[in-house]
Amino acid sequence: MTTAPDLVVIGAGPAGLAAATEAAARGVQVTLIDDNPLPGGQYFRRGVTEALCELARDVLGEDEKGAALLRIVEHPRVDYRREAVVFGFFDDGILAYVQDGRLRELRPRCTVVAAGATERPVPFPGWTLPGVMGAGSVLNLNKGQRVLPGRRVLVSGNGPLGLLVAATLVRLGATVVELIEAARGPRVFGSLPGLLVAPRTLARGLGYRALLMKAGVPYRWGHIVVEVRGDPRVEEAVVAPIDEHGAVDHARSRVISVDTIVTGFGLVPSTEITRSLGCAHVHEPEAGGWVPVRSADGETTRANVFSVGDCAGVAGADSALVEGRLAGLVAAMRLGRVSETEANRSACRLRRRLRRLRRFWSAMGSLFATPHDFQSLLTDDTVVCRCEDVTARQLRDRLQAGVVDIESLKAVTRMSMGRCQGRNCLVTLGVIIARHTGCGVADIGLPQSRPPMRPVLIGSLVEHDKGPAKSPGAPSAAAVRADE
Amino acid sequence: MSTRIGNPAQRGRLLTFYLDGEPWLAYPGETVAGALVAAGRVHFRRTSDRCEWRGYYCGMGVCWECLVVVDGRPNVRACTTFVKDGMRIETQDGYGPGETA
Repeated sequence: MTTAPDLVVIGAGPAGLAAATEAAARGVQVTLIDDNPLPGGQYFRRGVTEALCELARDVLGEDEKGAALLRIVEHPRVDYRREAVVFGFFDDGILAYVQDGRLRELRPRCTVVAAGATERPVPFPGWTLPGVMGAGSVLNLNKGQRVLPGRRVLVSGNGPLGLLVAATLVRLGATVVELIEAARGPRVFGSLPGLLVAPRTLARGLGYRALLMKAGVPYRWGHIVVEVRGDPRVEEAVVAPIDEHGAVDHARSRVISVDTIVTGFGLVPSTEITRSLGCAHVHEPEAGGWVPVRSADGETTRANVFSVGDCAGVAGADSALVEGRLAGLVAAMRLGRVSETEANRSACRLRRRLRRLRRFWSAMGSLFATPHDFQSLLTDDTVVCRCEDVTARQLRDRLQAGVVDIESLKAVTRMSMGRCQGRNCLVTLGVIIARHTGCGVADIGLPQSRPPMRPVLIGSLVEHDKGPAKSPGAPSAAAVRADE
Repeated sequence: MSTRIGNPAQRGRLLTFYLDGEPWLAYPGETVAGALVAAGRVHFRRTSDRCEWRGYYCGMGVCWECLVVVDGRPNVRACTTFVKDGMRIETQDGYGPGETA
């Protein structure tokens, strides 16, 4: 039998947890699906043992408010499904997911997609070399594993993420050789009024800046990593300045000796679920790229399907928390658990907060605005598609031969058809096609999103259960504890 | 010396796992990637076409760059797999053992 819960929330990061919390508090039966062993997403990531959590207390300290949010998975009206991967949506509104090696089905009345975002891929010669890591992955190592990525680190990025990672690494004892920022200088003048909307967040950022200064870490604006060399791991990085037109000045490049490069060029919203549902999407560069078209309450163009948090437009954890609450509230109203008057009263407050936070985020965007396009570092031999080893030259050859649409390029090069399902390359592919054809990235679009939303084992499709698991799946966290 | 932050002894009892037959140390709650990165090892697999080293990259299970062979099973993500005592890890070549492509 297929279970029909009131509300399914996909993703247990800040946005999903907030949505589940609000809806459950209003009497809604919630199924919360998440692919991690613990709730919290990347933002509230913790170690799976008590000892690791204890060791990481100082990194996690800032997120005390998260601790309360994480407990929602124990709420009697929340059916929390950990280590569960969404397979896809099918006819009659059936959502299929894989947990414990079995395919399971649900037919939700309302759905909140809170799938988060992934690292923005910026390909340059050597970016596939071991020792080059994303900013998010380094923060995960710090929070979940209590491990530093290396000894001598270069951080190259654009936006607040680079600053956060560099400051965190310094605080934890790594040597950050330099933090380089692709924006040519902080555009304080136009951004300040917007930044002052969230003084606490602004103060935290200034605190990171002060910490770097005290540690003597140079924060160099208008620079970017252009090449990485080493065998088998990073040994040196080439960095170069960016001129006022956004061009990289290779003549003034210099070589830095490091063992680790952290790249933090922002995030890309994970839209595969809303795209597979047929929701309308629009290309908004300041939101991270393609995002679903939404109402003020986060509802997509498909009725009763909401998209909240970074997967609907990258705007940080504070916005995600408010967006999640708002969608949870409106879903509760749709399900008849809250009157329209009461829902509107609470929603008004949340919408106001959201507008303020969006002002802050947009000011942050203008503070770190850069003329550089992040796609001009590619050389012929640079790998664009990591999974299938497709280089920029292979793509250009096909483009010159007249293959200019995204689906055909996929078919002839296998680009984006590997295990990451295009998460590391589709952004780049869009820009390469746009350049070749003279169209805008928005005109290129994205390929069709089809099941599985994430890779699953074939065997789990054979083990098909038309209902939820009878007991929650064997939690890997508990299994790990048993090893202690 | 590892890049573990703080006193490693606080993590619990030592576990041993094997990478290509060599013994490596880890603590409870560490992922295969976490334990290897802590020991300075970041290259985990070679690609099928260009035979290039790849390793720990996205750290959250989406890039599939950190694939290793775990107890004979290929294409396992090191960043989402927790170390178990006695686990046998191999660096993965191409699509791993049983490759037909």
